[in-house]
Amino acid sequence: MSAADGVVVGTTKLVDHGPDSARWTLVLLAEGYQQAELAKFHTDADAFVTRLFSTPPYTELWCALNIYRVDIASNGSGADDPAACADGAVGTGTMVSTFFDSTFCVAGTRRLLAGDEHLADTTAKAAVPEVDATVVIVNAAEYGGAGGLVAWTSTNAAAGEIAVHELGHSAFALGDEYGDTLNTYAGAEPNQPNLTIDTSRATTRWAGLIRATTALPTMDNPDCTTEDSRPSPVPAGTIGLFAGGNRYHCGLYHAEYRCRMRALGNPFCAVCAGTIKATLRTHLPMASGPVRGVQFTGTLAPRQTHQWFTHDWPACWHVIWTVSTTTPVTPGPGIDWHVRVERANRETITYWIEVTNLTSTSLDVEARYAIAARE
Amino acid sequence: MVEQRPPEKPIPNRSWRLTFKYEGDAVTLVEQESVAMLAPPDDAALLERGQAGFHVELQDADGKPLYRRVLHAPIRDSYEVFSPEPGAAISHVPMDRPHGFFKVIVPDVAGGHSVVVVGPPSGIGRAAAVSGPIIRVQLHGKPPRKDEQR
Repeated sequence: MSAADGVVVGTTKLVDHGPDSARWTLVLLAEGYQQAELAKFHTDADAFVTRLFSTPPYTELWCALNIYRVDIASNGSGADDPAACADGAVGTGTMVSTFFDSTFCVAGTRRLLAGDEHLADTTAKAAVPEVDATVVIVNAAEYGGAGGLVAWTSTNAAAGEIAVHELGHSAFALGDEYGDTLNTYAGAEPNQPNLTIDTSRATTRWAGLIRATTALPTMDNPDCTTEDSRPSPVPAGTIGLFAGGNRYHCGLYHAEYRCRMRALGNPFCAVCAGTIKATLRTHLPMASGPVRGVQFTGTLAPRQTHQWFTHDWPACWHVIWTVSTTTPVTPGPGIDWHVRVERANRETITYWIEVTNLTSTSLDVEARYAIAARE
Repeated sequence: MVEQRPPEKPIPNRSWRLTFKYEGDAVTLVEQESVAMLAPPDDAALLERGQAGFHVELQDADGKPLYRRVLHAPIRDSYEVFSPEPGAAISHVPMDRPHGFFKVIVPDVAGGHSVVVVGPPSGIGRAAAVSGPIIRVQLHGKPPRKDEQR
């Protein structure tokens, strides 16, 4: 049960924002899909891309990303699912031959789903040499996943959150913001950007984001032997110092009551989002150009208003529109114009350009564009 | 008012990607590649105030850091376990035998000589322990460090 149990079929660029050498490049690998099921992998990969696009701050820095899908046909379908797991959970007992030999019940825990991480990494690098991060999508409906050199997620609707959390660790060095088995941290300041031991209003790591009226620490844990389950003492979104991090219940603080690095299903807190942005920002297309041109021309009757639209403009392009009349008009303004923007989908924009002839004579007009950033 | 930002330090589009394997406390280099890609931004500011945890350094021939990047738990001794219930607590289960792989990416800059992975010793509560060098790798085509020459 290994690479001999399947074959790499091909690689497809799902999100293309320019050269891989400059973008932050994510690779999605298929695991446990038989040849006839690869169309399902395409759907599952698209669903993960949609999830990531709808996850701030990836949304606003989307133009920094490239994403590939690597089709791998396994001999078997799904993942191993041992019948008995040490945590008491009961699996189906299914054993299948798949490319990465993934299995539920890693370390005796049924929800832990992983496989050969080194093979996954080398497969991703062979397909896309400039890969920054890899997510393996396992063709299994049961909830499961894991982190490490690559992230693993089943196709269960809730499991994609695991991969997003794990990317927070592996790609952006975010620490965990919860405690589980460790009581009180007594070490030095951690180097992770979202954790601190410093409770001073003047010097704590994200001091600039904390309002003067927010108490510090904002929420300490009265029982350092267990996780604090009390509700937040402050409104959602308040940035302060909340106990818990790196598996310690006390002594380490994170920035907000809720964050994806504390519990899945939450958005990233402002500090974590800022950290992700700081890395992705360096992968954004550099300003280039401008590339200039005329998109359309037309004639407007006296006092006429007309609307043009132009579609499928890459959403990552910075496009500046100008509408001018090519018929001399003086004195006074000859036309008025407005640009409306429709984000038609994840990758493209439709521009709606409305032009009004303000004069009592016919006017010829042209809509000019200047593209200030493309590569 | 237009926001004014200082120009950011340019990062070359050529990097070194190193893959490591760990078995217990033993860390070995698996692969060293020169790749046309951007390394993540330098974390010097984070590391000036944070001493606990893992990071990677690109050093020159004198051992002076040229680039540093924080790493989150590259050497794991447990698995993170999640629940399908939104907001449910996350927990860990220990590995019977800590083993796995991790990789680092550092920029290929002039003077870059060695890559050093720095981190705390293994064991419970390693997140709080004092960090030190775990493995040092000389980049391809670079002579030994001065303090390693006879």
